[in-house]
Amino acid sequence: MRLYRLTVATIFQRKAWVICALAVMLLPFALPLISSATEKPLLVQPARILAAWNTLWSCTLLWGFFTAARQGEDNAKSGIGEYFLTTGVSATRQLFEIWLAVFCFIAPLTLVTAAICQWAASPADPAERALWWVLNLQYTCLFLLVIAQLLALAVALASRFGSIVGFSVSLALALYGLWGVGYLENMLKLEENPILRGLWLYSPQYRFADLTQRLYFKSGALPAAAFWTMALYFVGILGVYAGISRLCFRTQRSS
Amino acid sequence: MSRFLPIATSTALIGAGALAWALTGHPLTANPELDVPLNPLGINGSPYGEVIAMAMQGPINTYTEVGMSGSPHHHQAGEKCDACEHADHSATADEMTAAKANPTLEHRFGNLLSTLAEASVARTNPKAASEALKRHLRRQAEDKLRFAYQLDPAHYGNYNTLHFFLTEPALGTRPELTPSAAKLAEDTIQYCLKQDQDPRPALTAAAAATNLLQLMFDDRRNPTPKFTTTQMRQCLALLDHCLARHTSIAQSWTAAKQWDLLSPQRITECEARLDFICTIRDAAEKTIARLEAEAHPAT
Repeated sequence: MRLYRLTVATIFQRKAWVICALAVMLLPFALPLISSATEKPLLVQPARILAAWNTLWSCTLLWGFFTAARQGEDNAKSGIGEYFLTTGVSATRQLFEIWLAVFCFIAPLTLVTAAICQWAASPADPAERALWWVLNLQYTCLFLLVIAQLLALAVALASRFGSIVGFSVSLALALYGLWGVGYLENMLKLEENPILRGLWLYSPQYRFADLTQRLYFKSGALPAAAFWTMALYFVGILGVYAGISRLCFRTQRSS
Repeated sequence: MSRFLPIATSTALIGAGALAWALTGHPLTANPELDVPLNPLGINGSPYGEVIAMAMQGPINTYTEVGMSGSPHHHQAGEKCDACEHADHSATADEMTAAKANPTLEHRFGNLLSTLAEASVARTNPKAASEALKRHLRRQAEDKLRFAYQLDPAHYGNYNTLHFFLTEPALGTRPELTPSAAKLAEDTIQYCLKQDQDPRPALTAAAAATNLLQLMFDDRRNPTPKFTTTQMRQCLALLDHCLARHTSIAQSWTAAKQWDLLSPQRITECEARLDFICTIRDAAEKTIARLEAEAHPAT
């Protein structure tokens, strides 16, 4: 796990993670102060939920994917990948170690967000509070599943095509899966189109992993069966992405 | 000297630049002719805006449904829904039965996705949504409707849903609704009558005129009505003008075979709207005649 330790130390030394950590911890408390929640105390908790999860999504999609892409590119460009290959660390192993290092920065941010939601924005009603635990846990799991696969893709694409491609492709996929598919579906409801329908059907529907609206509307936890189906669905996509990333990952720059 | 000169040059440059900036900035901002409406990327009223406005109808539905009932509901294609009083027309009943009897992999996957989509918004909280929350969501729906309207003011659905929201006291969240609804209708007519390349905006203008007539009829219930039957006649003439404009542009479309560019669904939609507006128009004419007869019973 030397590459893992090296990557963690590199990201740690660059200190950009401090900005994300501060944003995730402070914005949920600061942003409601500039919202209409200051006039209506009833809205403080919904405003905090939105601020918390939206900050986490923004930090992960921007800083997380960028860091993953940069590490992937650096590994191939600087010769580190080639060096580790000669010491017997295979390409797959290298991909896994770089991915794990970035993931180890994202996972604590997610846990902090879920904790803020759990303790600083939970509903007062005991029946609703019981569901709140479950919903937070479900959201954390689905979020990490989605981010894990996109981080792997960012690392692998960047190692072959450069960090700009790695970052922008994974970001575009995430945005498309979160909101693009929803807009596409609405257009399909208005007007049927077999090609677009096929595209929609086999698109990664990351919108299922965005449970912010459920927290915001206090809709309660996801039904267990639906949650496990979603988890399986994302594990499936994770498998596909892991395969593609494995094929795509390079330990050295092609000349 | 050699070090002083570049600094002096830079300072002079900054000073001169700041002076020019400050002197020209004020007249530019004060000039009303240069005042442009806030419209990022020119998206409002653009062909892209029209498509985005169409796609936005989904999120608005979610907010309105939660705002009205506390939880959104969804139905499968072809399924009847009492709450919505409409069926989803994207698949016929026969197609649905055939699909159920012999589901392909694609159908199964599609069904799985729609089940997940349904589950991801289904409310499991035993407590109903609070009144304040529902009101807040209705306000958000209203804001979204206004946004969709700004993206494409000529869209029939965008205008009518916003008008409905503004005039329906159970839905709207802002007081003094009628004047703003009347202004909305006038703005819409003005905007739509400028569009001479498409027959559909004229229909939206006609719908706005029927809404104005409706507001005038509602005004009759007040002890001192503000609108006379002459004003109603003028509004009816405006409605006729909009319909005539629709007919003339539609004829030029038929001649240029431009209808072929539209999908059958869009054409049926347009015909249904025309029929609806014509029915409303005839009813309005009768109402005006009745009001005139009431005002002058002797003649």
